[in-house]
Amino acid sequence: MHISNGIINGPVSLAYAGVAVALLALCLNRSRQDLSDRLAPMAGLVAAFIFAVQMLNFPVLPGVSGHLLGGALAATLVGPWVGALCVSVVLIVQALIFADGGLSALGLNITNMALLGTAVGYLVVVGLMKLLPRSAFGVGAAVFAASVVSVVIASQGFVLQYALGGEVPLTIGFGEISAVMGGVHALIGLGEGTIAALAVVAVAKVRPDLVYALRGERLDGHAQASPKRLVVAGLLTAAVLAGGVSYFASSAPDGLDATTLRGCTVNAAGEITGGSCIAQSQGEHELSGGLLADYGINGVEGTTGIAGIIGVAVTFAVGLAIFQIVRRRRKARV
Amino acid sequence: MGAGHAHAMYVHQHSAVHHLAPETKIAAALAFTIIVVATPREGLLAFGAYAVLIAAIAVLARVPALWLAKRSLIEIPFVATALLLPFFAAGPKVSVLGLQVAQEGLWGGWNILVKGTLGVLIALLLAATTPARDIMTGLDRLRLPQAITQIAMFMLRYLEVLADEARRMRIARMSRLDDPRFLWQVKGFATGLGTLFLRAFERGERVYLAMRSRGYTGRLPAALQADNVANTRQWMTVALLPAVALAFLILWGLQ
Repeated sequence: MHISNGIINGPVSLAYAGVAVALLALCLNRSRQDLSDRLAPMAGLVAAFIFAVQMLNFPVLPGVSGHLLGGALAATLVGPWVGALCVSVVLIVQALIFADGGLSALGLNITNMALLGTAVGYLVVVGLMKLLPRSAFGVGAAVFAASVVSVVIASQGFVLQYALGGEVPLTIGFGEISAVMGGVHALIGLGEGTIAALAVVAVAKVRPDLVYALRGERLDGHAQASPKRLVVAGLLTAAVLAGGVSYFASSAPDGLDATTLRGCTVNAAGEITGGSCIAQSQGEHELSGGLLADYGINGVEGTTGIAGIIGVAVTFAVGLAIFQIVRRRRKARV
Repeated sequence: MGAGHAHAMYVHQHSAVHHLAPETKIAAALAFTIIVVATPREGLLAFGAYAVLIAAIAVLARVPALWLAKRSLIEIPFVATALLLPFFAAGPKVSVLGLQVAQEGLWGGWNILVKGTLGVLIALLLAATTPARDIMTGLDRLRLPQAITQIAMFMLRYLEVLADEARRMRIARMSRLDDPRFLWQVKGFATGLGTLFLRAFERGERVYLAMRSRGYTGRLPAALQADNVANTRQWMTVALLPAVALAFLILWGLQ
């Protein structure tokens, strides 16, 4: 998703443009060390590959298709410096030639998708490769986790930008925006991760020397990446992310919520007991009585993480059910 | 797919706007975008004036209005954001068509809508009147590091080649009874991506060796980019756009 003009205000856009230019200069410098005078043709072809990857749509559900962002994939295959450089070039060309993403928002987009996404993706891959076996399965699992984390972190980069320079104050707090953006992008990341992992495994089997994150080391043995283990690893990653990371999200009312509560007296359970304030006019959300409302199980303290894990399990179950139904119908047709 | 090949967004015409040096057009589009973004959202007259300026350029460049309209559909996700904002923004509410919406959100939605649209239109006009290679030459003359413009040029040159390769692999897969619908194709699709990367990378090595053997040292020959360099008159002509826009901003936008 490319940010367009007018979503983030001028000064913040300008500041991010400065950050992007400085970090791109660093990437350019380090890429030259990686590729020397081969830089332009090699990085050009890699950039063309990333652009082509973004153009290839694959069906997610009947009628809905998605495409890859490719940050973690690029970082794994060609390293963080060349990877970030190539994704940035893709973004510049998309803004100038395809009018995708605002010219004034170029710095914002490059920082989120090219720099943040690639750097995080690479760090996760390198970190996990130290723990996981150097097998096709290990590489695949590392790339999968890296893709999920990088997509989610990139979306949080946008939330930060909106908090700094969003043109409109919102009724929903930034904690919630961050949770919603993170949740949606975690789902996108699962798809992205599956495809990126399979693609990297395919490359690693044929030319392990071309996978930068492996640094030319051969894979151990002929362990196949079994789909079952990949699914289990994926579910575990998602559960760890949802269960662990969501604890870090602050449950205290953020600035905006605090403002709307000013003038009211609030009891220990967070209910308004008296006075007058903006928050009283807030309507209750239809599902606010639901079991998972406010991302914590009703009446139990500190269960945000458990709610997250239940969310992952339910999402997986629903996905599996849809998959099974469609498969059965397909078999019936054949 | 030669060097002079125009991209899909180029509208082939011979107008005054097409013949301007690319670096002037890029600079003008960028300046215009910055002025649009800097305009306070209450400056309705100024936004109207910007729209007239864009329409004037479109007429001058003989870019069909329907083409502009179709291509600007890329903005649709942000129209959705703009339409949702009135319901989620904080602050006093007003009633529009029986719906309670936040005043602040209405302004915010309008802000995204108008600035996004004007930004997309000026970028589309730039792309419609300038071939991709010229845009890269222009960026090079605007002192963007040559490494970046060169990477972008190689990228544009080989993009269609790789896209065609991907299409061929897909046809090859289908002709071997693969059924590319829904999730069954994920494995094949992803393995195909891996193969595509290998082919792209190995092609990059071949291209580099071929160029090396013809004397490539990391810089492209200057002669490639010598034609149609901007002179002072062109710069003055193009500066009219941001200058007039700035005048409107001061006159109507900053009240």
